[in-house]
Amino acid sequence: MQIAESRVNGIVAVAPAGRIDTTTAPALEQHLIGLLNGGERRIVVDLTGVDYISSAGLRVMLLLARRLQDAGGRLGLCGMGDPVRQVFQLAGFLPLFVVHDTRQAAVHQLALP
Amino acid sequence: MCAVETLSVPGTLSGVLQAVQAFEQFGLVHQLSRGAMWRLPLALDEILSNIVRHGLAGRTATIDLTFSLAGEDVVVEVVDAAEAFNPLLAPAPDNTAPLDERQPGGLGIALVRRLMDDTRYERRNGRNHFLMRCRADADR
Repeated sequence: MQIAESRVNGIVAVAPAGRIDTTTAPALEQHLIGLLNGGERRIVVDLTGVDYISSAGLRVMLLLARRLQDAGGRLGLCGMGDPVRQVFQLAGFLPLFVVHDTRQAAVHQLALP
Repeated sequence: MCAVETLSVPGTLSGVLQAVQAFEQFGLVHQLSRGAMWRLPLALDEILSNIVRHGLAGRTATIDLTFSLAGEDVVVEVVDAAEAFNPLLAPAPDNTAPLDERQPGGLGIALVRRLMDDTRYERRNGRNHFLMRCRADADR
């Protein structure tokens, strides 16, 4: 899995690519929690390049959402392809996240005061 | 169409990756649908990592796998010699709890049950046999 990162108006967008599974989830967790520990409070996770996400990946998203909530931050997800959306839905995770179609929409939302 | 492939992988996290990659190769050769090509690798990842983490818990062992194509279905059988454990009896996590109360445990098995068309467990000759079946043309 590769992880790309970019920054617009104080919002960091993280784009993992490939599978998020048992093997790759720890690297994604380290990356995202590293950002949070480094003081980032508005994070977009762009899932456009993700083939599928396993429960190990869902746990990373859960952890990040909780930690950001506790820190008064905000999380936006975007770019869910069909397999990713189906897994979020089957796990009952969709109501827990703010999900946008595009990164632009997610960044725009998080940029609001 | 009928095809069978068997392999053994070490009961480690790198063995899990090996199994997922072997399945992807099997799927390419047999031109499985896009749906089967993410549902089964994902289910395999969940079942195997559960065995490695909880069933074997550090003990050295191999896990035997059979991938087969039978008519409209892809069937994956996973056999391990860990303690008897029927994952299908594990309680499903609460799907409706708020963020703070979500439990991370049990998510993987719950996903497998929902992604597959059929899942079965059997304890036979001191080994766990877990079987999952998915339509070869899933999501086509």
